[in-house]
Amino acid sequence: MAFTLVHTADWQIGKVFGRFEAEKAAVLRHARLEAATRIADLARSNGAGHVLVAGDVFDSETLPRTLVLQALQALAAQSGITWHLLPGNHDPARPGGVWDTVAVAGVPTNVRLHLRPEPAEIAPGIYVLPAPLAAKATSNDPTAWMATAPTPAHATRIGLAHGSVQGFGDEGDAAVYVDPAITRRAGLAYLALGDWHGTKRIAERIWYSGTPEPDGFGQSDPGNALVVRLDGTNVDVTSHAIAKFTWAERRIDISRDHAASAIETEVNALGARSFTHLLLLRLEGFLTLAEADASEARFDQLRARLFDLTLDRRGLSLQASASDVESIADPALRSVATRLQTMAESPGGEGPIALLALKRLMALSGSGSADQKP
Amino acid sequence: MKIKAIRLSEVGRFSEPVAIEDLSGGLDVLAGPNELGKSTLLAGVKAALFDKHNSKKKEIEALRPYGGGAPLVEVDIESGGRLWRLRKRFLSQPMVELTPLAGGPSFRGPEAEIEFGRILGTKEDDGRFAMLWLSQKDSIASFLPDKVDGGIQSIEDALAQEITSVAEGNAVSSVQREVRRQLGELLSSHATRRPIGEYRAAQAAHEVKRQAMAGVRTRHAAVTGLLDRLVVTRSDYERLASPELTAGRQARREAARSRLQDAKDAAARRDAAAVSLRAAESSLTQRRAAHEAFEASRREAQRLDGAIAESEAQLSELAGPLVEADEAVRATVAQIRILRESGEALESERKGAAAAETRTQAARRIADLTASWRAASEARAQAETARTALNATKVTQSLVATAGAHSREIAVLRAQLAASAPRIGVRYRPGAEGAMSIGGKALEDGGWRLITEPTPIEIAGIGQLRIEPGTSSDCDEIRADLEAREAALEDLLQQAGVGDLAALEAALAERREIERTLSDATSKLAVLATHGLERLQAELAREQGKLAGTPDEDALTRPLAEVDAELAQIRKAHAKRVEQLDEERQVVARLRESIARLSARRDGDRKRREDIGAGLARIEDLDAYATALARQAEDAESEANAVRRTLTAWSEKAPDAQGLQALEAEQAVAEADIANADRKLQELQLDIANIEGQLETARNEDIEARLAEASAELAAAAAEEKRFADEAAALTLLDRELSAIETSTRDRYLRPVIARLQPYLDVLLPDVVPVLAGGFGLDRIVRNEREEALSRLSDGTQEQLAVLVRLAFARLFSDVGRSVPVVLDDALVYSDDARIARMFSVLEAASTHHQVIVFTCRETAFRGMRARQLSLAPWHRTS
Repeated sequence: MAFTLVHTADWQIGKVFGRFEAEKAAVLRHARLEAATRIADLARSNGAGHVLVAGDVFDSETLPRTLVLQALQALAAQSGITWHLLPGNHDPARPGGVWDTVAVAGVPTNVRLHLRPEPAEIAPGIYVLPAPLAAKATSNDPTAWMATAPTPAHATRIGLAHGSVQGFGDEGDAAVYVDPAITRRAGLAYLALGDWHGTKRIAERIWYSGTPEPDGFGQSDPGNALVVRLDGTNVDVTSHAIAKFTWAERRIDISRDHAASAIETEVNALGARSFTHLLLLRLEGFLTLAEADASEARFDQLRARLFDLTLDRRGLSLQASASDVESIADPALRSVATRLQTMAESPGGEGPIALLALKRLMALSGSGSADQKP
Repeated sequence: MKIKAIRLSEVGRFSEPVAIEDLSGGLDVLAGPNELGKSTLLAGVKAALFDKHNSKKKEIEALRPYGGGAPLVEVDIESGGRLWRLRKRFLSQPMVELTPLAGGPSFRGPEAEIEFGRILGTKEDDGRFAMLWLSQKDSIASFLPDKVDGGIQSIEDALAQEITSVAEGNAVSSVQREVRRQLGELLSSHATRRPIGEYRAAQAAHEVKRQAMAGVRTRHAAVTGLLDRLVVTRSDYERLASPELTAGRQARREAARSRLQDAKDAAARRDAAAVSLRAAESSLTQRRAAHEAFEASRREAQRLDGAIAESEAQLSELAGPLVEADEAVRATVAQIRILRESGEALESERKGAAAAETRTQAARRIADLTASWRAASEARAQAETARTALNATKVTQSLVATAGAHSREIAVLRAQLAASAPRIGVRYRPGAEGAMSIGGKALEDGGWRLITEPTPIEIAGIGQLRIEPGTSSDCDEIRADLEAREAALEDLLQQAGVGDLAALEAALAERREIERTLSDATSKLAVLATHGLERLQAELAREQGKLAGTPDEDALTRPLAEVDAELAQIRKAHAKRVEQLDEERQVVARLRESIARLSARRDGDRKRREDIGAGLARIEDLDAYATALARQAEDAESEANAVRRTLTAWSEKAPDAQGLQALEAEQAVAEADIANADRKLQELQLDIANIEGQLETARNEDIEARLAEASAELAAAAAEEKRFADEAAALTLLDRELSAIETSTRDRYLRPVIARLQPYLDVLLPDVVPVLAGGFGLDRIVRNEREEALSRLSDGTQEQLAVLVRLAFARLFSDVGRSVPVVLDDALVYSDDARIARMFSVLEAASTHHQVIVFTCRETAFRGMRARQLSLAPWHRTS
């Protein structure tokens, strides 16, 4: 008997984007709530009546009740879809946690909470074996119980868990480890995993869906939801883009003329979609002070066309060039500029200050465009 | 440039036009009293050279005469070998005209200003530098070399133009002023510069955000802690409230209660058995006592019968000895009475014998006293006789000693006379013996004779030979002394009533014998009659009186000792009988006591026997009665044994007090466990509600959002503060670098000035090295390797240094091809004569390079200077 479901995870509803200004942060926060609608649409369009959320539905345990209510209402509004919610390490099922808030708020009829490790029949012969987390970290494999989970013979067993698979990924030490071998030992038709924000196939029947709405740069293939079709012993998994916002990261050598232009071309090509793009530009190379001023103006123009532009200048070296110094007409001031240039290029902590002093000198001597005041 | 003539009209205090003509262009001196108008002249020249004709600034206004008018100044100058006349009128109908005196077209208006600048070789704007001057007040108030429009800036500009190699100083100063202005908006001006303004605000904002972040973090940690606490608290509650633990606590309590109740029941049974046992044992005791009492009565009756009989027999045995003892007592009493009567007779006899003995002793005492009295009387008579004899004698020890002394001295004197007297020897021829005589006494043959006085020697048959001893003063004195001594000795002998010294010594020996007799008699009297002869006589009379009162010695029959011996025997016999009587009476008493005791015991036994006999008499068959009592005792013992077994059985079941306490404690612990669990559950419920309440509050706070927001704000505030800090650091660094370059530049600027100043100083103040500061003012001097601030120098030295600095600048300009006149307006008023003379030398030397114009009120002092003496004359204007 064929069975189709949608696999998603790491919604992290309520996530705060503190490093953005308040308006942008609010938009990004709300976008995570909106993702449910698009996931429901995906499910409906693929004939799936069940959506498995593999943990971290909520970003924290102390979300405001109103936000939890909004999330539940968003889920309740999706008729024909049954949501299966699993506590993850961000929202572990422990007393006083967000799941208590959910319980108090009232669980919609189309929402099933899997707060205990016990088999749940979600459709005739289809059993979900959930591995809810009760703490932010645990040294025990929460899926271990699935190996002995009692279900009727010939039942389709679907594992639902949240944690890191050992030996994969590069996200450092995980708070929860999941042994992928549980799929074989427990006779799982599919193991729906959450925790990693990028979509990743671990094995034919083991997948990380990733987060439907990216929340950071550097994530590998985020913003998807998986449509999983189980038919006898066959499994078919397809990834579908869901995200509203795109978080892109580029590394450019700014000292090359065409580098910045390429970025501008890329953004221009996005058209109106550029306003849902967040771009992290890691700048590298060398710039003279005059060039730096000019490039800042270009980035200001680029920033206006994006939802957000973040410049990482750590790889960028500003230099006072000979032309910078020569632009100062007064010989005495020019000799001062030369000394500052030498200091700026010398190793040591005074280099950036010397560069700043040089910029100020250029401004005061009428040879630069730096601000007159700090 | 050199000034050749100055003319003023309607300027300041000058009511009439005045002029100074024919200046030499070297050293020119205008000497005159105060109020001459020298300063007005200088002001007019300055206005003409440095101010535009249409200027209306206050210095120009100050030129207007008190009575009103349009100040007109005309200055003839020589520049580049050509003579020019510059004429300017200010305020009303201002005009400027520049006329070449050698002929040629004149320039007017702005053209004239431009041309004049050109003549001076400078641009119009900064070419105003045409003259250096120094007024009296300037010399003390400031060391700036000049005060043209723009002040020091003009000097710098001029120098920058004239000395192209150091032209960069201007831009540095300008930038540095701006840097310091900007730095002043960020950092305080204190030695330790602190952030101010926006920088301080950013710093404060950062601190506020940091504290806010700490608070949010603390709150976040508290909320996280609440979740952890809730897990633990709920776990504790569920564990404590679990049915298993609850049932266990209750089961422990019920078991404890049951064990305690069983123990209490057993203890009650044990106590009841103990009471029954005590009753049974009491009954047994009574039965045994009754049986034993009956048997004892029977045995006692038999014993009493025997005892009574024995007492009767003993009483019979004691009757005889008692009679005998009474008889012995009576006999002994009779004997004692006889002995007492004999003793009394002997006592009477002894009194008589004792009286006789006393009388005999008194007679002996009287005889002794009488003998003593007689001897004492005799001694006293001897003493009286001796005292009389002593009183009669006149010989004393001292008298004898004095006489002896005189006698020994007389012998000495006589010997002395004999030694000095001639001695004659007598030798007769045989047959003539005795033929020579003195005083009729023949001289012995072979004898010697001293002639101490004129002595006639009769020689028979021959005649008389008269020999006289020699006379001398010593002999006379000896002889006189001898006579005095002899007279004194004679007096003493007469006092003693003796003829010679031997008799005197014999009389002294007799006196000593009398004294010995007196001493012996006195000693004897003292021994015999210690208290005097009268007391001795009185005592004798007393003894005689006693004797007269005693009985007559003839009344005594026996000696006292004999009577005493017999009396002692009687007393001894009496004492023995008395002792015997006591013993006999004790025997009687003991017998009577034994008889009384036996009688009492017998009577008691009889009474006891009668009582027992009365009791037993009521029982018909004594043996049967005894058997019945024995059986009752046995029954009571059987019953007591049964109760004892019961008691033992319950005692084994019932715990002792300690065991019971343990059971009670066990039950109390079980009860407390339940109470504690209930209380703990209530507390946990309260804790859970409390934590949940706090979590609800935390949810409403959206603590995660707050944390992210605070973190972002903190990062922004930190970045903002760092931006200001970097900016301040950059400006500080820039200021430091600009100062370094400015110092370097200034040194280059000042080096040529110092080089030209030093020769003048060598003349005026040979030991002084000048130190110029920024702005070309003299900052301080170094004298004898010590720096001295200008304010510490004398007024005279200060004004001299001020003049020299200006001369140095003028020399500098001269050396680069621009001759600039120096005008000194009463600039040397404090200088002493020696210094002023040296200053003349300096001025004279300077005037060989550029013009020096001196306005002075010290006419006499400046008369000696080699200079052209100027005079103020009326200006007869031609147009």
